Amino acid sequence: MKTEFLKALQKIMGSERVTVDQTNRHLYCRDMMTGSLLELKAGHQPHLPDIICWPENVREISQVLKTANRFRIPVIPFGGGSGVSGGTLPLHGGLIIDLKRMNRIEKIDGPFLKGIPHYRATAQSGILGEHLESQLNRKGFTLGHFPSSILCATLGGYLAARSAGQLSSRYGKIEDMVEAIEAVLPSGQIISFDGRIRDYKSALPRDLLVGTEGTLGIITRARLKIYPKAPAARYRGISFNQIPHALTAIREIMQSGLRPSVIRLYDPLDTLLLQFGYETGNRTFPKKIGKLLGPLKNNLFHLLIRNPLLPQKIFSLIPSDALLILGFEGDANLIEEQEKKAIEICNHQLAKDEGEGPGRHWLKHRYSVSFKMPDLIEKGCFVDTIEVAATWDKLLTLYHKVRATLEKYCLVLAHFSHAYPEGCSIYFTVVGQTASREKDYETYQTIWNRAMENCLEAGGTISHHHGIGLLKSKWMPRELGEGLKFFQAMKKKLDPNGIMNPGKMGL
Amino acid sequence: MDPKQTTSLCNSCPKLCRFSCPVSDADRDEATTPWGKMSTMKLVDEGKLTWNPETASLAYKCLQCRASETVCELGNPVPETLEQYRIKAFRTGIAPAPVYENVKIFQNHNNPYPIDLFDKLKTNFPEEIISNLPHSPSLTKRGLGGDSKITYFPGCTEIRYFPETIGKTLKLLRGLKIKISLYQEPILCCGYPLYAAGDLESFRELAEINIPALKRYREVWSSCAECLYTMETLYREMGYKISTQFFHVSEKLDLRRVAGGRAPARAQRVSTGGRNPQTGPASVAYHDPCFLGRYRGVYEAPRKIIESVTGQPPLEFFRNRENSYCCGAGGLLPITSPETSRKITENRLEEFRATGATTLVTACPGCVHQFKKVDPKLDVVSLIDFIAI
Repeated sequence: MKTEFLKALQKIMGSERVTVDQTNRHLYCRDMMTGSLLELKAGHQPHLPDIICWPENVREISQVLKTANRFRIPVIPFGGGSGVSGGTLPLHGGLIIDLKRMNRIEKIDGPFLKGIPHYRATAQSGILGEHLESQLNRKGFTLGHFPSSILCATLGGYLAARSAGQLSSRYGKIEDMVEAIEAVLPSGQIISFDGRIRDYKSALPRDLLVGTEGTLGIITRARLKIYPKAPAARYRGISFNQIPHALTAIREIMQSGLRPSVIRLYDPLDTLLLQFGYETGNRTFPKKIGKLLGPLKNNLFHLLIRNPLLPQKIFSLIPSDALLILGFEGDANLIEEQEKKAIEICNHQLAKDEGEGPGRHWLKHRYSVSFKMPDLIEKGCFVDTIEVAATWDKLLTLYHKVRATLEKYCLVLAHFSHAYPEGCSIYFTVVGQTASREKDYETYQTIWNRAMENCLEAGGTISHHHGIGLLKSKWMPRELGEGLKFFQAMKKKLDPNGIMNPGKMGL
Repeated sequence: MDPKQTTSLCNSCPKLCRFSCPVSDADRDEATTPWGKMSTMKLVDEGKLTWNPETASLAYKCLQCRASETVCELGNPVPETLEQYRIKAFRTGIAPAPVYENVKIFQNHNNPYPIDLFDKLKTNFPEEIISNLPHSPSLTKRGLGGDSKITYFPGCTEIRYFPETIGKTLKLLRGLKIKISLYQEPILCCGYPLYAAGDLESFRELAEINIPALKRYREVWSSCAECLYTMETLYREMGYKISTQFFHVSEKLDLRRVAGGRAPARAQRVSTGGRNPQTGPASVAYHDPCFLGRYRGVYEAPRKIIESVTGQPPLEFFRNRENSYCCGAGGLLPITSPETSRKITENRLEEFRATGATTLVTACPGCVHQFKKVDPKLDVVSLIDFIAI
């Protein structure tokens, strides 16, 4: 059967763009989910795909899906492979469709009314995020989407997992930026959009398919809102003695109608670690700690990380505030006023203005944390991020519950970001190490189980912007409740043979 | 550098440098990302993939342009690591076939082209330069050659494709009263193509011939930063001691004196505001060669030289200086993956056209040749050709 399927694929797109070679099969066997890496390091067998192909247009994808349906072959859409939830793992083998050969910005148009800065870009889903943004920048525009994965994820990946960028408070998440999508359904049917800016016909497939991680079809093109690059930006650091005070300030800022581009609160431990290596006015204490820890780092690092309660106890004795990074983009006068108003709100919560330094430092190093992760992994640790969200009334409980549960197993850092008038997401970073890679994997699984349980018990949502993939799949019944039945029914209708990305999203 | 550590580090990373790699940008798959190439080597080392021509070929899917290394905040040395696997591939006889063909040509001619470089120089050099070769009575009399401790080392590509530029360079430098000779020793390639091929043995043999000759000079100047890197860094890394200093010509040109000289027609056209009745608007964009920029850290000198002649700074590619994008000629890619190499050049030329410039200036003979090869109608010149009379 597979040979016939392979021949059919070669007929569609030529033999050069279809492969079964071992190297590619190994390179497409995982995404960047920490669990996959730990499994491999522990010697587990990878989930190898059988075939990888590189289509160049939507018609080829349509033909491929028709053929895969005929042969009942699992199909996994693949962008940058940078997801952290196992969304592209070929659990049952099958065909990987790599979309990166569809990487063009096809059109930038607008303004549609003289003097009204409404612009849009139509782009193929295989374009890398950084290339999309830099190509827009060359023409004076921005998408406003700056996820940590911008350097390595594709537009299709953004849309599949409903990603959020660091400036989401101003520009929204990716689902807020997309006006319409073109997609191929499992049957091979192409759902396209017409030239109109926004209508029911183009919004419906968008609302049904964005965020479904390739389980219902493959997004091939998107029409996105874009903006002229902001003429000015302001960044600031504001410190708080107490997290509850800081969260009150963030809530009041978001509910007052102010629209910061960045609003991120680092908890004291994250703040302490974040501040190593730079000065914030007279705040030299963390730097001294950094210097003190420098020589210790090499000798005691592994000891501390294997006994996470100890360093967390030590860190809790160090007086450290929670640091809020506040940013605004837009008209210079307007954002100056907005910043003043936001600082005023913060001051009511006993905040201390740390000036521009921390804000600029954050801006400069905002992708650096991603580079630190492989370094820690190579030092024998495991690292992961857990992003959940809750409404304001549940947020603090969620934070304390998860943190208190996890700190037995690992070092837990957290920041609050992607704030809304109704609530906010929490981004936990966990770093741990055990006696062996096999034990690492077990501990890692315990961490995730406990984190998800606690999140659901506290009334939070288990995913804000990393998607569900394989990682959170088993919690989908509790996450969606009755909603999962609707999702399952839609899946059955659109993909009766279950070929699209099987085993993901609780399906 | 332990390749096992560097490949493992890459393998744990979510491919944060992939956007910067011209090869993966052209091929658009996972295998040719820096992550894919390094992970493949790791999988081979772990015995999960076999070491065969297919896996070995990925070590050659690299321009050695250092774009990924520059982007990587951990500075993981991708080209240097892949070089170790090229050496292994070459030794085990499974490097791509064109690599062996290229090395064979090299061994017959002591350079990557099937010609004798010194013959080529003698045949193509302007008469006045030939007569001014070091040790010639006329030059010694004028104090511009002979016992000069500074010599100009012409690279193979410059001799092969742009011999007249060598003449212009010497004429320009001597016009600026710089006492410089033309490298008088038997003209051999620096050996970088052997190094890039992974033929470390032949590279070492060549280095051992070149080093005593180079040692005779206090300073070696060249227009080829790849040669400079080879002689200055690679020779030393291989354990050879050499106190000679190496400079790219652009680092040594006295800007005021260049500016004071008579600008050629092309530069005059640009300096008059880019208007010329015959040719229309004219402007210059500068392309940073990888070996001059990322390897050597020279970004501003060529720009200042252009500005000193034209009166205005060159236009910039969107990706410039340390973020520059390779021309596509590095790392033997034109012979191992000609289609990928060509696509990379086309990508860079698309970026050039977006600058609005009509003239592309760069400071590397290899880049000039690569751009001309892909677009013969392109107005692309070396820095020296741009400023020399």
